[in-house]
Amino acid sequence: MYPKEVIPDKCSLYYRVHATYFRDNVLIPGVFRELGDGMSTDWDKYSTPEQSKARAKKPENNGIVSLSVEKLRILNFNVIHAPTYGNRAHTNVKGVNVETRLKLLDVFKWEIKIPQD
Amino acid sequence: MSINSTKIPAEYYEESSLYSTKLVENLYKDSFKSHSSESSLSLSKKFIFLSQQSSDSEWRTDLNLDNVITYKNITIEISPEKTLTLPAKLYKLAESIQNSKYILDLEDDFDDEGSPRYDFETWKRAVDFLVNSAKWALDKNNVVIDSPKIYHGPDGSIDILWKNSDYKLLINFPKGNDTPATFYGDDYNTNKIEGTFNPSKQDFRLLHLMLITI
Repeated sequence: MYPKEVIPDKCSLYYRVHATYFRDNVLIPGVFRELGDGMSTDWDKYSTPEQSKARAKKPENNGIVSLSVEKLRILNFNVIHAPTYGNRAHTNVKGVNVETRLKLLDVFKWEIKIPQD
Repeated sequence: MSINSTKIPAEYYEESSLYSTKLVENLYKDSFKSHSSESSLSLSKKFIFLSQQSSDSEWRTDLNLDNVITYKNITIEISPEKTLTLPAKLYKLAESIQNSKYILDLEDDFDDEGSPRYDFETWKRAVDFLVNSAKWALDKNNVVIDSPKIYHGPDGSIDILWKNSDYKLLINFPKGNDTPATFYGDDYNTNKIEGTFNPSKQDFRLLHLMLITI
């Protein structure tokens, strides 16, 4: 197993966004949600956007956005490196609620756009 | 969706012919499918020139009345047995509700991450709050609230979102009747509003207060 590390503010996290959360040509707030131990992301130290996309069940239905760790911490999110057996980049983000979901809409950056039909 | 073809006062009107065409084509599709007797629309007709600046009861003089369809109430079919009726002034809200019906078609695991489908009752609870609050604001204060977007939220919940250059507001209606709704809004600056409320108490002043506070 990989060691857990402290993630510096200057880093970014990659987050997969499924096509069903892209409506009216924008991401909708429901895309940001915790599953299990938090919102599942990949630390850019150990992953590329392409690798994060490839981890999806159906990569062709997903895009990738990045989130600044510094901005996440300003929004009072808890950023926890949580490597798994197959993914050293895996990081949980805790603190998703109605306020932070709304604010995340203003801080994310597109890395890989969602494929359009 | 159906329209009562009754002429309405000029203050209802707003220039929006493109929107109106979309309204006809998209919002009223259901009533055409169901061959509703109240469907008095003709898709070939141009539709609606509304101006809230109009202060008198006259129609705009540049209109060819033969090409104008007027309406009084908008009825949205929300299930085979249930409808919602909104005043004509709330036509943008009607469009938001109509557009949100996609939520009810999402199936289990629609996002390949195991998210559950959405219950009709959860969606209806959010829509009822919105409609009743908008009607209250119109009836009591003659205010047409900004029209929000209605989206699927996390864990079977429903999100209602207002987001423009002046403010943003998100209300979340969780799955299940006993859990309170939560909301947060701000003006991108120092003014903000947040809290919880029980939609079943039907306090229709609340949304109006939220929108005028931020």
